[in-house]
Amino acid sequence: MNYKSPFKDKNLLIWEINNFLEKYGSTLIKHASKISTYFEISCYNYIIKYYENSGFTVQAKNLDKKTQSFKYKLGPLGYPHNFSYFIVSKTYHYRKNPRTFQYEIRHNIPVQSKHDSNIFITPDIVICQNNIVSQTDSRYYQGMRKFYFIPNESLISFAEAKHYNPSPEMIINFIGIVNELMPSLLENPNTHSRPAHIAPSLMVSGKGGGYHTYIIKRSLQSRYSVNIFLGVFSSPAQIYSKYRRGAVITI
Amino acid sequence: MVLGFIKNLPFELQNQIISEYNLRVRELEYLLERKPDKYQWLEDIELVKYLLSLGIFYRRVINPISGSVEFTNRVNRLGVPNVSVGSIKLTPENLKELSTAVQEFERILYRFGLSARFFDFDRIEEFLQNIKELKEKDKYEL
Repeated sequence: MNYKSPFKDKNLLIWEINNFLEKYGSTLIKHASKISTYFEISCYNYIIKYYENSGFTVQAKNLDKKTQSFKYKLGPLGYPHNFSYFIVSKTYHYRKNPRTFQYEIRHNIPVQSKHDSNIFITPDIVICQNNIVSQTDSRYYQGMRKFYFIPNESLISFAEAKHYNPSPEMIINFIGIVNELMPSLLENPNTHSRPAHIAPSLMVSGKGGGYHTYIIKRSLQSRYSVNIFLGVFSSPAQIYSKYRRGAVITI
Repeated sequence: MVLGFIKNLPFELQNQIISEYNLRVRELEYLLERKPDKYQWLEDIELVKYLLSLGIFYRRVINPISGSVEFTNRVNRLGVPNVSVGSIKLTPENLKELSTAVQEFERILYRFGLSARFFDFDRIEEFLQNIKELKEKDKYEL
């Protein structure tokens, strides 16, 4: 490749970018309305990749019956059985007796609080047992539709995706969600059973304000079983890399 | 200069990009006013602003699209032909188009020594440091 300098060839850079926009502008515009969803999809992909790199087998489930496409759920509304998700499974051989562990990785499904069974939170990505409960309750959606959620005991872990530059408040607010859904992780850090799962994770696209953000991340990760991934935009591999597995906190 | 990238984008996304760009430019101008000696090496402020707008566009538009391409590729490898995201269907045909667009954008950046790491900064000082390093590299390599 013929390398150029933006300082010496500024006009060439501007010309190339203008050409790019002329050629691909309309393609990008078609997808621009879904940009924030696409970031969530990227993070969903990183979690799947993490499990794949941890030796799990991945399968796409509940595809659209007519088109066979993977239907991504855009928000907490919508019945889970109308949308696709992934199943990850791993088999261990205990003295030649195989035992397979299987989990679902879903997105935008409400999860029941650990403290109050009437409170539900919808993390972007949820790792759970195969157990979605539905109920018709006149207090939710004016009783017009069924209410689906994952019971707290079926929750394994979860992740939140934020397409921002992180602030101290945003990072610390994440601990509030962990407290609501998995409070035990705030009391007994770094205890895990087999198979190990990625601990509740906050994935932020921006890197954050240097030292202060870094010490908040380090402090929270040392006190609690949580992962704070900053700068996912430039280094997504910190989540799923086989070589940096030791740096990811598991439960 | 940032407006060149964003015309025809949805209004909300345009607003986010413009407000990030304006904030960064204000920081840049304030810094240059306060520490003119430290940033004497910065001769072409217009180029810095252009790179800034390029970075914002990369982070907010190209990078998420690139993520969706990667996700669709994964799903395709599992034998699933398409991904539906609301009204948008990511089929192998439009995936090819999107994938080419992302590769072309990254090829241009790469040709000029720019990368995701270059554009990943929080404070404007960090960005200026990245520019300085690229400029230093330029002296020796080109």
